[in-house]
Amino acid sequence: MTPREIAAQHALRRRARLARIRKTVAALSVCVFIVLFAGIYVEMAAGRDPVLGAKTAVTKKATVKKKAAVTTTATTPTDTSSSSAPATSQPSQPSPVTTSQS
Amino acid sequence: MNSGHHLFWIASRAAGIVALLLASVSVGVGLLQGTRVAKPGRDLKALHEALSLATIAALVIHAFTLLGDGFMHPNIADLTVPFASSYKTFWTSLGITAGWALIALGLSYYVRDRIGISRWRTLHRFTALAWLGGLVHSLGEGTDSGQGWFLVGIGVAVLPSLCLLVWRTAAPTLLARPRASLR
Repeated sequence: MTPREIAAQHALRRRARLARIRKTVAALSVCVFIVLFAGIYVEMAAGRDPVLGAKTAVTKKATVKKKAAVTTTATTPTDTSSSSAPATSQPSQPSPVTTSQS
Repeated sequence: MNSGHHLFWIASRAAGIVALLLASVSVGVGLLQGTRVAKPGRDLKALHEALSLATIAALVIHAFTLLGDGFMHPNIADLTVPFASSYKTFWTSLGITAGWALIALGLSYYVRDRIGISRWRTLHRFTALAWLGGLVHSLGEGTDSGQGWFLVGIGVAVLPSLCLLVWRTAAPTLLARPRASLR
């Protein structure tokens, strides 16, 4: 083997090594990207996203609070009225009016 | 909740994290060569170069996938010009500046002969600053910055490079001390 051939072989090996490093870095980067993408997608779909999930939780809490407030205001008049009155008492109906036409 | 509506946003978040991880490892490998912790060789150099190019690719994906986001509707200026976006202006501008700096400093390697090797080496040191800017951007604005998995993952990639950076910065002082005491 001539020195030129040996040098060419070395260069070839080096190029192959560099190509392998580049391919490994590219493949690893794509793999990490896919894993992160899938992870974030699944978390978001499950409603555990740090931004959207928090909003949902706040909205749910607010809805629950609103419902509770509505229930309280609805029950207040019955509480202040006489204890003998049933909680599900209907508002008094107007008396029927009889009209007569001539 | 329909995740399908947020595909571009999810892609941008994932690409941003990949960019930060790659940049951290790249800076670490660069500092390994600079601090002579590892024997400088062609393999490390090639790895450093490949990681830098992958970082640039991830940064471009991180920025431009946001163009398809249906919630923010950013335009190109919002994503490429600092202080153009009204969304978390400081953190976004910091990220844009750091991104441009990483791209410019990374690609300057290919024109180092024109710049001049010593001038390029001085410039190249600012890559660490750009990387730190990106790190602060991710912690300040990143959607996942409060998540445990994010902090652990980033910590594993960032801390070794950060230690090497501190060592590299402090090394001249540490090396100078024994000399000074000998005098």
